[in-house]
Amino acid sequence: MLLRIEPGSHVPIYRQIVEQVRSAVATGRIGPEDKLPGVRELAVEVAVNLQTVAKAYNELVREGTLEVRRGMGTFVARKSSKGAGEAARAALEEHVRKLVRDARALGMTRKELGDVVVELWKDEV
Amino acid sequence: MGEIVRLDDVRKAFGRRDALDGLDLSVQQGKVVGLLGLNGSGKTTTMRIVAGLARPDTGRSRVFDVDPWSFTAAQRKRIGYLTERDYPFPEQTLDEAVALVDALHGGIDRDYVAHLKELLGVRGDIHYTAFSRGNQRRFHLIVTLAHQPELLLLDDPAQGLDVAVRHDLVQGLLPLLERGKTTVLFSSHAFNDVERLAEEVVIVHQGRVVLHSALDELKERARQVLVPTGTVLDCGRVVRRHAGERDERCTLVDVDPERLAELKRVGSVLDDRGLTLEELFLEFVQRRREARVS
Repeated sequence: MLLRIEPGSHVPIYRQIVEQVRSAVATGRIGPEDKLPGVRELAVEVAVNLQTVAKAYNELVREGTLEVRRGMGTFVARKSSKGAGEAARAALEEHVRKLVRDARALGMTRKELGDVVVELWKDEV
Repeated sequence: MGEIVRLDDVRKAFGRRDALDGLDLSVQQGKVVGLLGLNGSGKTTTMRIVAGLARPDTGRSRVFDVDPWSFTAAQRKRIGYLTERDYPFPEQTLDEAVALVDALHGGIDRDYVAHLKELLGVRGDIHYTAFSRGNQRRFHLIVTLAHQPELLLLDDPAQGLDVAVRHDLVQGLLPLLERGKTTVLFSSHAFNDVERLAEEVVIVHQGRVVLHSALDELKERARQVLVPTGTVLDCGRVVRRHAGERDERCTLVDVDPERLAELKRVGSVLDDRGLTLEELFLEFVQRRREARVS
C-alpha cells in the first residue's frame, strides 16, 4: 500500500491517511489479515509526525477497518465489522461519484458509462 | 501533562519598535508546536525570552515554572536552542563542538550522540565550514540535541535548505519527537514542514499570538463561505470578510458543522470550502494589518 500525503491540502493529514487506507481496503488493494506498516515506519516513510499516524490508525481500529494484534502489529480486520463495511462503501461511492462527474465532463451518457462498466466487469470476473 | 512554557502579556521593545506587544503563550509538555509568522513578527524574540537570553520589558514569563531570565546552569541545561544563525564556532568539528557542550553541561551520553550522527548522517571529524549548508544545519542540530534537552527551541531549522535536504531533515527529526519525551517549539516559513511535524500551530503577528490551535482541529473546523452581503453568521468565528458586489466571502474558524449544514439548507450560505494552513495564515495576518490601518 502506497500513501500519497499532501501537506498543503485543506484535509488534515491524519484524515488523508484514514481515507486512503479505507479506500485501499474497499478496493481490495489490501485484504483481510494483511499487515500494515508500524506507526513509526509509516511516519518516517511519509514524513509526518508519529502522533498523526497513530491518530489515523486509532480511528481505523475504532471503526473496525483495522485490528491490533497484541505484540504482532496492526492488520486489516479479519471480518470487517458493520462500521468498516459502511465506511468502505462510502469510500467506494466517493470513487464512483468522481467517475460519474468525469464521464459527464466528457459528454458521456448514462448508458455509455454503464456499457463501459459492464465490459470491464466481465474482464475482472 | 504540565505546562512547560507560559508567557503572559509579555512586552519587549527594541528602541521605538515593539517586538512583542502583549504576547500570551502556553505550551504543554510533550507537544510539538509550530510557530508561524511573517519576518519581524516576534518569533525569534519569543524564543530568546523562553531560552532566557532576552528579558521582557513587562509581563510574566515562566519556563519549567521559573523565570527563564534567572535560570541556573542546571535549568538552562534542560533547554536546547537552535538559533536561526550560524553555529558560533565555525572552526570546530562536530566532535569538538559536542565536547564543548559536555564541558558546559556535563554528562553527555556518547551513545546518544553517535545515534544522532548516524541518524542525520553527519561525520564528527570535519570542520563546520567544510560542510554544505544542509549538513551545517544538521551539525548545529546535533549540538543542540546532544545534552538531551526536555524543551527544544528550533528557530527556522530548515532555513536556506533546498526541498530535498529539508525533507531529509524533517525525516531525521521525526523519531526524536515522540510524545511525552521532548517538548518542541519550532518556527518555520515552510508551511509543509509545519504540517508534517506540528501537532499545534501558533500564529504570531505584530508581537501577539493571534491564533493557537491543534492543527487537525483547525483545518477540520475552518471554512470559507459565500453568503449574501450582510448575512449574520452564527456557525463559527469570523476571521475575515471579503466584500463583493452582491455577496461576500467569509473565512470562519471553530465552525459548527451541523449549524453550517442548516444554513446551507435554508440558503443563507451559498457555497463553502475548506482552507489550507497557508490560506488561513494569510487571512489572520492580513486581517490584523487592515485592522491597524483603519
